[in-house]
Formats: sequence, C-alpha cells, structure tokens
Amino acid sequence: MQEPTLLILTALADEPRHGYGLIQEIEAISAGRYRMRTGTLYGALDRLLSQQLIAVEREEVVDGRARRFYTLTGQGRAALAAEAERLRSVAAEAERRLHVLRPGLQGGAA
Amino acid sequence: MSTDTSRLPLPVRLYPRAYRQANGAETAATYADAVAGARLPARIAEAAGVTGHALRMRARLTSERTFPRVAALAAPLVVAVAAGQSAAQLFRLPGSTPPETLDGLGQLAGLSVTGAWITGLLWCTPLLAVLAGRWSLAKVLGVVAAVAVVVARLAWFVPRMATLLPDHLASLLLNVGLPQLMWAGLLVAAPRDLLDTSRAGRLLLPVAALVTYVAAAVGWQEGWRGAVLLVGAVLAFALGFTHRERLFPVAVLFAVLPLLIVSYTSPVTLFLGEAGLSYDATVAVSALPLIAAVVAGCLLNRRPRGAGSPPAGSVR
Repeated sequence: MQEPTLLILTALADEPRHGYGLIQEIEAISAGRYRMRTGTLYGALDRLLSQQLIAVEREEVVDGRARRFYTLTGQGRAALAAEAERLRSVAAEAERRLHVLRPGLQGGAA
Repeated sequence: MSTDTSRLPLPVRLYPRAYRQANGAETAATYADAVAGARLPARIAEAAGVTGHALRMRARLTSERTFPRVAALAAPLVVAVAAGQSAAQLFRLPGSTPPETLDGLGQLAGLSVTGAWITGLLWCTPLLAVLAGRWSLAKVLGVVAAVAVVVARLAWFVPRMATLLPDHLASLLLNVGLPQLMWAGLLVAAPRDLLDTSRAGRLLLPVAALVTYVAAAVGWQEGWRGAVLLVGAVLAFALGFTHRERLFPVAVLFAVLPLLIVSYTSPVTLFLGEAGLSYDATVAVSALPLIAAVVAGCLLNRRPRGAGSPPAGSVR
C-alpha cells in the first residue's frame, strides 16, 4: 500500500471527512511531512471509490461550499487493519533486532 | 451535487463535463480552501495538480486503470535506467561504444557530441529530482529530456537530408528518440498517488542506475559481451516475479524496453539487411517492439470490469 493510500485510509478511520478535511488531517497525521495536493487527493479518492475501500457518506453545503464526506467501507477498514498489522510486525521485528546486542557491538564501535 | 460550471475556477473547468457536473463543486471547494492564503508557488502547484488530474481523466489515465498502475511501478525504474544508460554514453568504459557512435565523425549515441552531452545530463536530472522527493519535477524533467533527444536527433538529421532519404527519418527516430519518448510517456502516465515515495524505495534507485551503467557499458563492447544487456533484462524481468505486486514484471519490461531498443535495433537491422530483407521490411521489424508496447499499453488501459463512471457520484 503506497503512502498516500495509507494516509487517506488512516485519516478516515475515526470519522468521515470531506476533501479539505482530509488534506488537513493527512498533514497532521504525517506531522507536516506530507501535504497532499487537491489533484492528487481526488485521483486517489476516485481510485479508492472504484475499489470500494471508501464510500461517500453524505453531501452537504457548509458555509456556502459543497462538501462530500467520505467514509471507510468494511473492505477499506479490513485493508487498513491488514496494513497496520503488517507495519506493526515489521516494527516489532526491527525493535527486537535492535535489542539483540552482538558481542562486538557492546560498548560502541571501539 | 450538480454545478454551474461557468463559476468554477479554470483548472476545475478542465475536467470532462460529466465528471465536472458530478464533482466540480466539491473539487472547487477543496481547491479554494487549499489555495486560500497560500503563497504563489503553492497556488501554482495546486493549480498544476488539479489541471494534471483533469487532463489525466480526459486521457483516461486515472489510477484505477491498469496501465497507469504499471506506469507508476515502472516510473522509478525508468528514472534509474535512463540515468544509468545516459551515464554509460557519457562516461564510457575503455572499449565500450554506445550504439550509433562514430567517434571520427563527431557522433555520439546518434547525436552530435554536444547534443549527446546535453541530453545525457538532462536524463540524469529526473533521478536527482526523485531522490530529492520531487516526483512532479522529475516528470517535467523527463519530458524535457525526451523532447531534447528528439530535437537533437532532428538537428543531426537535417544537415544530412541531402544524403539521406526522408523516409530514413522514421528508422532514425526508432533507434534514438522514440524509445526516450516511451520513457517520458511512462513518467507522465504514472499517477502521483500510486508512486513510491518511501525513503527505502528511493535509496534503491542509485543502485539500479549503477547496475544499468555497468550492464550498458559492458554490453556495448564487442563479442559475447553484447548479450549482457539482454541477459540482464531477462534476469530483471524474472526477479520482478518476486515482487509482491503482480504487475511488477510488466513494469520492468516497459522500463527496460527502451534501453534494449536503443542497444539492439542497429545490430538487428544490419543482420536483417544482410539476410536479404528489404529496407522497408527491416524498418517494420525494428518498429515491432515499440508497436507491441503501445498496443500492450492500450490493452492494459481498458476500463476495469464492473467499474462505474465517473466515481464519487452517489451517496451511500
């Protein structure tokens, strides 16, 4: 799963969001590292809709602006959970290996 | 969510009518929020992004289709292989002669030496842009580099028109020009949301470029070494099957095909000519790989079965 997909699904995991809300949430999740452009966002949303990983929950006009709220489908939630599990197991393995001290490495490089 | 399209910002008006009517108001709202209070570079980037998505929809290169997915997998390989090949043309190993090189006549890789250096260095810049995490810039640089190769090839051809027939131009561009345009096409076709932006993925690219450099520099030598590039390409294709993405072998094939065309078209044409084939027949045969790639790209780009159009049109 590429990073933009992971970030979008993660941003939708807790509550439905509209397009600009997603851009803001993705920036927050990635600690400012990833600023998704509008064109990239809608390209990804179209794909995720056609893959049925997300769905449109509702449409409304907020402050004179048309908003469409996207939500995770059951399939999208499962895909995100599987990716989170994969990342968790990789991270756990990395942690485990970092704590295995080889004799030659104890006490630094000297 | 129907829309009065005349009130939409210009980039949003570029979407196909059906998509614009279904999604224009919402896209315009998000675009307006994204550019509100932003500086000029950010506003330009937003406008370019929406324009790119609109043109992608018109060209049917959206990311739910198979060919753009293949292009997104191929794009990192394209920048690495193109840089490696260009470096092998410019920084030659002893005994290595890039195809279409005549040192005594000032011809390097089918271009003037100056043209070869300019275009060769240009083809290294997309790799640098990707390493810096700038995919949009890499795409622009790739297109510039491909167009520069075609222009340099034409500049090489024009003074020789008196001694060459005009129909030689097609065969000349088959060797140098069209393969590079194929690389640029793959970069353009790769949707931004499917590109590998991970640091680990980026760090592998210099390795891929170095492998290509060595394979090309060795493969452009006389004798049995001439098979090195073909064997390397077959190995890369086979290794592609170990990737968890099932389309990866196809992406490898698309990424290395231009390098194979550049390297093998001249020897194959020469062989076919010596075997008694007419000039037109040899040109037709040497065009087959590119034609096959275009046909394969079109077949892969057919709309996925069961996909609706346009998306985002209905509320759950």
